[in-house]
Parts: sequence; structure tokens; C-alpha cells
Amino acid sequence: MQDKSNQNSEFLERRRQLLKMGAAGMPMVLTLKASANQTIHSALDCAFILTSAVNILVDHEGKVWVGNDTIEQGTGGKLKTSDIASFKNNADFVFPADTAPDDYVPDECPPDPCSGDDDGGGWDDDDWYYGSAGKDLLQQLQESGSIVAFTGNNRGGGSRGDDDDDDCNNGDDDDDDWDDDDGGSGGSSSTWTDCGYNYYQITANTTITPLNYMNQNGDWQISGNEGLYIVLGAKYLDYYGNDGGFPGISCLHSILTYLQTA
Amino acid sequence: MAEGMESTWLWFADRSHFCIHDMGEVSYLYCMRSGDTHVFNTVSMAILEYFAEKPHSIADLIEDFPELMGLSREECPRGVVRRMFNELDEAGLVMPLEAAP
Repeated sequence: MQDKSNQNSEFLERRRQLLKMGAAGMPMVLTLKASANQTIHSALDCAFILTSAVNILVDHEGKVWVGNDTIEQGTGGKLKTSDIASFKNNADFVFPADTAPDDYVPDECPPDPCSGDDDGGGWDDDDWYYGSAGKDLLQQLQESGSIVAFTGNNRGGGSRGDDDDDDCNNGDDDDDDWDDDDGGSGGSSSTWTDCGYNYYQITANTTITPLNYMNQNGDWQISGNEGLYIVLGAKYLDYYGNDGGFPGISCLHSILTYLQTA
Repeated sequence: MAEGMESTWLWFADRSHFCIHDMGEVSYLYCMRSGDTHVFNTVSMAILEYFAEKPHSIADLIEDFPELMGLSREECPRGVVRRMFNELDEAGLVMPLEAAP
């Protein structure tokens, strides 16, 4: 009986792992074509077009969610918290902590003195299948100095209101600039947030040319929203190789393969 | 992408087109219609069997998926479930009911 119970829990855990790998973009079905090798685009100057809008959410731990839902933005770049939850729930790709480069990672929200815990994180808050194992391309890039510059935009502003006169009631003292709820729903003090998350948007039909993010020395110069997308593509490749799913992956693969062998 | 109106369609996987061999956690499926061989893990196999059992909509799948997996709803983001379905769709392993031969 005990064995059966153990077997069952192991089976569930295995499914849980597989699902997390699926959430991070690993294909769940591999197709073996009779035609042998799939042709890989080998041109170093390749570019790819994102035919639909891609939105990227980064939390303070560097976790990343990629999807095509949108998050409503209020004044000062504040993000609607209900949209954040929905975005995470509907994400097409989910990457673990430390995925996003530091320059894209927002400040953590200051602890809310009025509640024990924050971040209705759900399943993304626990451990990841590939957490610390395996090589980390981004880390390699950083260690080798390959990421040498960043000119971010669309940051959340980084202003984490520290005006601490909020006295934990439901009042909306309007000089608190990080949990201001101008939606008027009584009692909720977290309708909007300008900390804990950064939100990046790439519009449909954007052409991304990875080599534009590389200088003459072959060092990556990651910047802007498209730069973040390239980092995510590299992360995807690092874990799963050139296995479909992530738009533009073939192009990135050809470049990174070239750089490794050149 | 199976979205919008397509999410209300009923989809079906026709077992008579498949030749399946299970090898531990991995299943190999030969599709007689396409001549392709597909490799499944336990999650994608469970989804295929779900559609082979009887026609379902994508909304059904999203609703039933946590129970199918024995996991909580939080562990089964809708977007991920939808994308896994799309993999079956793109591989031609599920088809809308009205399109079934």
C-alpha cells in the first residue's frame, strides 16, 4: 500500500516537473520526420519577425512570463495587479528566477506592514526542474563580459514609494505612490503597483535582427525590449536547444552555434 | 494557434490512425495519416488520450486538465495547456469534429 502511494506521488511529481518544463517552453510532442535532418537557417545575418505582439513580465527575482495578454498601465507606469495575475496565468512561456538580466529586474516591493505575505504567486514560486543545474548562458555572458551595455526603457520607474505614513487602514492616502488604488474599489489597496514587476511590450510585426545587438568584437550589447527577447531566446536554447516553439529560435541558434565554433 | 472561436470547437483524436508503443515514460506514436512518428511524454499522452476518449473543446481541456493531471489549478496555467494543445493540433493529431473523415 505504501509502495503504491509512493509510486503515485512520484508519478504526480514527474508530471509536475514535465508541466513546468512545458511552461518554460519545452515541446511536449516531438515529431520525427522521415526526411531526416531539419534544415537550420544558417545565415549569420538572419532576422525574424514576431507576427503577433509579445509581452514580457519580469518579477523582482528575475522570473519571466511571456504571453500575448496585456497588462493595463496606469499613471507613472503602474501596473494593474489583477492583470498581472491574469497574465501569469495565461503565459505561453515561463522562465525561472534569475532568467532576466539585472537591468530588467525591478525592485522588490517593500514589505507591506499590513499583511503577512504578498505575492499570490501560486505555482511559480516553488522550485524549478532545471533550477540550478546545467549551464547558464546568461551567466556565462555576464562573466565573460559579453553583456557590456544596457539602455533600458519602459522600466517601471523604480520609484518605490517610501513615504511611510500609510497607517494600514483602508484609507487611500494619496501620497503613497506604490499602492495607490484609484480604481475606487473599496478596501483594496493593491489595485495598482509600481514595484515588484517590470512589463515590456513588443508590438506585432516587429523584426528582430540579433546581430544588431552585437558589437564588432562579437560581444552582445543587450538593450531594450527586443534585447530582452533575445536573452530569453538564448535561455530557451540553453535549456532545450533548437526545438521549435519559441519564435525566432532557429535564427538565434544559427548565430550562437556560429559564435561557438568560429 | 487555436484561439477565439476555435476554442469552442470540439476536437477529436482518432485512435484508428495511430500505432502506439509505450516505452516507460515515453510513448512513440506512428501516425498512419502523415507517416510521421511522434514522441510523447506522460503529459502530452494524457492530453491525446483525453481527446481520443471523446470529442472535447479546448475550454473543456482547460477546465478538466488539473483533474486529469492530479494537480492543482495553479500548477496548470491556461496558456500552457492551450499551447500544449496547439502542439497536438500542429502535429495533425487532433482535428475539429466536423473535419473528421
